[in-house]
Amino acid sequence: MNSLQIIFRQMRQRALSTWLTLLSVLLGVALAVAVLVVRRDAGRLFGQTDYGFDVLIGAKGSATQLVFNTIYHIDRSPGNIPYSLYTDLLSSPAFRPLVRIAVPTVVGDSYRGRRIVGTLPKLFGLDDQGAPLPPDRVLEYRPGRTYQIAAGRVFAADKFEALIGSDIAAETSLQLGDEFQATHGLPAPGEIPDIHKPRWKVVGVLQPTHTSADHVIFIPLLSFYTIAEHGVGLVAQKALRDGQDPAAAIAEFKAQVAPGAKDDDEAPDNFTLDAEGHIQLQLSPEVWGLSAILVQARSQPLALGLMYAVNNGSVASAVNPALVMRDFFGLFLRGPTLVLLAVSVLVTLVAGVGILVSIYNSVAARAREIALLRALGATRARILGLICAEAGLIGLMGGVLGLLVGHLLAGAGSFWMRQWLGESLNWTTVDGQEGYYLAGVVILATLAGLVPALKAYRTPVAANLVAN
Amino acid sequence: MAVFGLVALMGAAWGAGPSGSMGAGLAGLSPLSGNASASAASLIPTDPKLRKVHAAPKSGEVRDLEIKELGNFNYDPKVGGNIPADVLALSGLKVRLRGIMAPLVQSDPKKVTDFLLVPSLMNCCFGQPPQIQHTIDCVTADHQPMPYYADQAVIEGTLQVREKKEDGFVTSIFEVTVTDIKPGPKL
Repeated sequence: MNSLQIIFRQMRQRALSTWLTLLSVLLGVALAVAVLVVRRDAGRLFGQTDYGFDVLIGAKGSATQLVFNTIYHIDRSPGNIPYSLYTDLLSSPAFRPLVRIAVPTVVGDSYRGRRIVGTLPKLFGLDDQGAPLPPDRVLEYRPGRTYQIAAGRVFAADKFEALIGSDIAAETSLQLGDEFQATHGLPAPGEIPDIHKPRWKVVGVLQPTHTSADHVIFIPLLSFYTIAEHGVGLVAQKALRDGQDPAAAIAEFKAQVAPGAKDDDEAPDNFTLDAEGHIQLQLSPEVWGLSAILVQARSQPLALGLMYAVNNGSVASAVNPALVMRDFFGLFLRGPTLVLLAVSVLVTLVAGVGILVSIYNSVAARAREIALLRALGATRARILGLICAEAGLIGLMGGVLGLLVGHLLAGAGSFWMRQWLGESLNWTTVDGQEGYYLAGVVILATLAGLVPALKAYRTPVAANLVAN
Repeated sequence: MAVFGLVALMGAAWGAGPSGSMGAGLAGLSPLSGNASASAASLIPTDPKLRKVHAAPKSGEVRDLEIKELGNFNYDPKVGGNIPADVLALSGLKVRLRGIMAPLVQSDPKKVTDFLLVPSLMNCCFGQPPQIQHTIDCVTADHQPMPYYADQAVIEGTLQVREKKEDGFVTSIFEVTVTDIKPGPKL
């Protein structure tokens, strides 16, 4: 009988204890491996770690909230900024020397839990008349990458048309040619949804970008303002900005767009459609609001100047997405995952102690067998080696299974993240860190076996044979 | 912390900025108005009569320079055309520059290929962003990812001095193709 057969027989003899010890190692390793995968791929969770634009302009408030909301389509919008800021960026002497491309966006509504973003066709490479823009005037969502159409076409700037992200069809069953109505906000589960009246028709599908944009429905900016509740809300916001009575402003607006209508809470339609379906909006651009403006500065040095200029105004803040996310990863993500890693290492250490206790007890119970082995010619060194190898083997088996389970855990997390953020973890890849960790677990387990091994080493042969 | 410093650099609370409409008052504060420098802290003379003229590059030379030493001249990007001849002559020189890295494209600190090098973080909110002649536009050689150092870094690479323009607007004047980045000395 060789050493390995002896070890397996010992393990089988006290199977329950062996399995429980192995399970404790497995759980510790699985937790540690899952944390290692998340730490390694934390950047991928947010899809983008590089950005095709330098500056993100939005309402004053949290920079992280602005980036999360605009780029990753999570969290609430920090608020609205006036549309006039967008036109200023493109034409005012203060901003024009700094700005190469600016694209406005509005958010707030959803369809079956997926965000609707109002924007201009320029985000997809066309001007408002549908003509292609010069390549260097098309905003890149990542360096060197622009949105591409997989099927259909880009929406018209002034029609109830929509362009859907690559995953929207699978997530909402919307297909090319389908019509849908937007839901006000993003209702909580169980909340009665407030469905807006306008109907948009899907005219195009985007190619996958592997960013959260794959889960977004894009509609024309103009169509976003046709939603009656939005019109009334924007009028009230403009009045508040101007220090006027919002109720009076709304009453005046209602009288203007729906003369003779009964003065109730119902928001009036603020648009008409011509024969070809073009929107004629009765809401002045002075009233329009934006959630954010994506800006590519003419150069990176000028991006600093642009942010400084906007931030020193009173109406908006400007942030650099890369900087905000580096800050987030460095300060808020790395710390907690380090704590989790420390906890999982502690769990592994406890599992090592478990190996020690389990084998120590078995050595006490196996004193006669050890004495017999010695009597049959096994040296003390071989007994020591057998016990240590048994402990190491438990560590190795628990470690390998833990590695497998840890990756499966990360895979489950990856699936959830894909739904939430549109990006997944690279959970199938095993890297060097995990290899070192596994080697550490085996060494720890072997060392844990050393204490009972020394006890076995010192087992008096004659006394144990006689005693039993 | 370095990151906080850069946030402050771009921060909302930087000085008593213009109020009211966005464009108002920007002409005086914008980094484009280089001559309206708030470089009171800088002791490097920039006056054409007082500034130190850069020595002509020597063959095989790698020159250590401070950023403000390199950009030791007044420059108004709205006017342009006034980069001193001795500075223009530095184009092609290998330089070693110390400053703070500000990657504006990549958030992954292990994969930086494009970044700005600026003299300081200016953690105090009552200042101005670096002027265009004190902002080095850096790209790593062959776009090879290089590490990001949140504290001071020393970059080595080939300097290009030129008025880079787009639609008639000056967008940068100093570019470096970076071949090496090391952590800067602890001060």
